[in-house]
Amino acid sequence: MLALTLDQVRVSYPGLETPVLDIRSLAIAAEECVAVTGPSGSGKTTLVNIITGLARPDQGRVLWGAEDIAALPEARRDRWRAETVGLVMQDFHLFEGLSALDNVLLPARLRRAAGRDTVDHAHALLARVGIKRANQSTATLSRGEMQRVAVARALLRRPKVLIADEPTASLDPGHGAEVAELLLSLARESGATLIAVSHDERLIKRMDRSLALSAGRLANAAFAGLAA
Amino acid sequence: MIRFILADLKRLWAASLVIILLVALASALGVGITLQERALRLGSARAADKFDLVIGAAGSETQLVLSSVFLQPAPLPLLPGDVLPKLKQDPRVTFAAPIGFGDSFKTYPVVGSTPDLINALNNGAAPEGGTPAGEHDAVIGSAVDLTIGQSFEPMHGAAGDAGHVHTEFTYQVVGRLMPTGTAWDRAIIVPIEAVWEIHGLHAEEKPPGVPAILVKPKTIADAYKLRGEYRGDQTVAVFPGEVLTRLYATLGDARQVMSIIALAAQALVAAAIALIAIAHVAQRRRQIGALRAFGAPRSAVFGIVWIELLALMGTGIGLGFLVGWAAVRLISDQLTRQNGVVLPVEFQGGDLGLALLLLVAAAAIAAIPASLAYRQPAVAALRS
Repeated sequence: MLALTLDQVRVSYPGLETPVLDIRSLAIAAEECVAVTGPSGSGKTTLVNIITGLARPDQGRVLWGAEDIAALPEARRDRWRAETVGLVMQDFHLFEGLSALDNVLLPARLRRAAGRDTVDHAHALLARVGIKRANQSTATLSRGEMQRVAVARALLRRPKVLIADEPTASLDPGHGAEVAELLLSLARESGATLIAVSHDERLIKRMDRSLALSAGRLANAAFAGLAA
Repeated sequence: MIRFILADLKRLWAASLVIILLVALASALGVGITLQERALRLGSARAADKFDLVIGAAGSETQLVLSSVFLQPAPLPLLPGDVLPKLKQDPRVTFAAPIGFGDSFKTYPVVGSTPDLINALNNGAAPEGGTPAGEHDAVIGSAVDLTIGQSFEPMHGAAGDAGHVHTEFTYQVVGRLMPTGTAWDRAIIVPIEAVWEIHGLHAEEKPPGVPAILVKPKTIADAYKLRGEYRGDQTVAVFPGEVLTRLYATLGDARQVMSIIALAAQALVAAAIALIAIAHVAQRRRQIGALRAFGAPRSAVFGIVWIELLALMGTGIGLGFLVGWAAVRLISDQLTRQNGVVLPVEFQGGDLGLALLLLVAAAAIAAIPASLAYRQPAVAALRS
């Protein structure tokens, strides 16, 4: 439902000669599923930070739909991200001592956005990702189950954008495949735009296309603007 | 947010407990000093209530009050023998009761006096059991472990010293006084004539001296006149309250010094906790970053860290007040058992102010790591 456009985006760190990220132009269509690949240090994490509003580029525009999030102040970007982006990360980042359900609801609760409907939706999502007992403590979950809870958390507020940063890297092949399948089907079901940073071939080949980053730039720049 | 905070505190229960205990101990120290000084001051003031004017031989006024009002053993010089009869005949005097110490039984001081003193201590009522009639009749304070009808032999010297027992003289308990909350609850009062006889001082030749005389003046003006008259080369006359006020000034100074020490201890604890909390926040960079990445506002992150630490410190402060009160109760009860003066351990309005001040300080300290968490950039979670 939301398309992404990057325009003249540059991120530099003081002391480094070349920019960490330098993308003249990138367009991702609404509801597209795109993989981002590249060696370590190629700028993948920086790209994710920019497109999720966790950081601001030094120059350029980051347009989701018509909104340039790079121009927003930090508090507005935080709120935009809470309402628009579902984030799945390599290390799950579930909070010990909370149940699966409480973990799913936590970001919404911190934003005071966890009404009755949201709680029901959380239950439904947990069932959908295969977690049978919503009140199960995270301490008793397997790694695969933990990532599935993280996926449910990412989808709680019906985000228009799903960002996954190495979602299967911490999982064994079997669980990795399950999580990859979940991410893709849930993205397609909800119509969210999915961008996944990954080395996982099985995930990459099921995406609509993949972007290769190298030294902060898009390789095959010609392909970057193809899907419109 | 509360559930997250509780889960966090439970997860880190050992560190949480350490923080609570540190704060509790530091608070208890401050509270204990305040409560104990107050108890000593109030208890001693109440104990001196019944003693309007005390006259003794020239010497230390403080020692005179400590010995006569609080029955602290000390070798006081004796007043000349004519002072007591003179006071008894003075029209400004309601009664003049001699106080003669020197003997004890077990841990209880045996004090020679007259029925006037017994009357004054018992608020005008007759002692339970009966009034003393003969030289061997003793009246005991409410905390003395003897029964009416029981006999005993006094020992020369202060309670606890090893002294010669006067086997030739036996007292019998005939009455018991009401509780007074003073050192006199632990006293055994016998006729002054018996004390004179035991120590070989005979009234017929010339009146024997006594260490102290308790005087009840008829009016306040009489009290001041008498005090003025008996302050001279041979005698001292004091209102116990005056002496106590001087002692309280010293006590107050001591309390101030101890309070400064307590404050220093509290400051150390505050610094230690701030350090623990700052290190803790630094350790949780990725977790805090993750919270922000998932959309938690900065204020929520500040709130979580601040509330967690404030809850711990607040609990410690509350516990400290309780522990301080309990410790002072224990100490005061022990002191009461030893010398009879009841020490009231009580909180007053100003103590609430102290509690609030401590809470405000805790809130300020908690804000330090909370603001560090607040300022942390959200990207910390995604750095690989």
